[in-house]
Amino acid sequence: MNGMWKIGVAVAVGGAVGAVSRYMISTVIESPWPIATFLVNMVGSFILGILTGYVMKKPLADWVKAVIGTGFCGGLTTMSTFSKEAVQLFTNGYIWTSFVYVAISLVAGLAAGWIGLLVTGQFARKEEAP
Amino acid sequence: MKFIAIALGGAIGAYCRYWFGAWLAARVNIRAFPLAMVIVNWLGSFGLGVMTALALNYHLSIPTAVTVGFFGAFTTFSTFSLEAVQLLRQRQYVFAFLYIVASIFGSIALFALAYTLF
Repeated sequence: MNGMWKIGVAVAVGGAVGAVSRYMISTVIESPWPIATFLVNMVGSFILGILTGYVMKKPLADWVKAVIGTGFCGGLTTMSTFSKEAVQLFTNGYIWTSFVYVAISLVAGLAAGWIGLLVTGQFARKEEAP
Repeated sequence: MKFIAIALGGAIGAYCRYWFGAWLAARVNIRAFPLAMVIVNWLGSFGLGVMTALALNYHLSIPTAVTVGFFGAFTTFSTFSLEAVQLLRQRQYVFAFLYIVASIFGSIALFALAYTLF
């Protein structure tokens, strides 16, 4: 258990910063469309990709992974608000917009993560742990 | 004050996600499929659906710290993206497909379910 609390604190601190950042971005980008959530989900996926690629290549302290990855990226991005927006677009009659929002979030989110992974991890593919 | 509340909600949400992931990993040993984040995103989306319905139908004021803070940080899109990418890179196409469908459509369906139930 020793050291577990440190990871927990790192996750909580990263999560707090991530959630506040997401909230601040949502207040700056005032739009009837869910652009703010889309943006944070893409940025968070990209940063987590960079971190994951880096970790494949070089060792990184567990608390650093916890604060940036599990904490910040996890707290910055959100699936619950994404679901809420998809449903509300649909029920408000913007059916196609809802489908487009879901499809673009999915494709661009995976692409952002993958590109991030390639930025730091492209030379690490062969040494990757099974 | 609002920022502190959202930070607190975010901290608790992220910690709960981490705790649940660790808790499940210690009990269910399925390395091939990242089940923990599917469940976390389902729970969080259902929970936010309940909160949204309560606010709409019962005119309760749900604090932003709970909706944006806790449920926002409890659920995650970045881990979903990376886990899906890893499954694709490992050529686990069936698992990748199931993971994507379960995460995205499962979360949306559970939000909608909670939204209509309450």
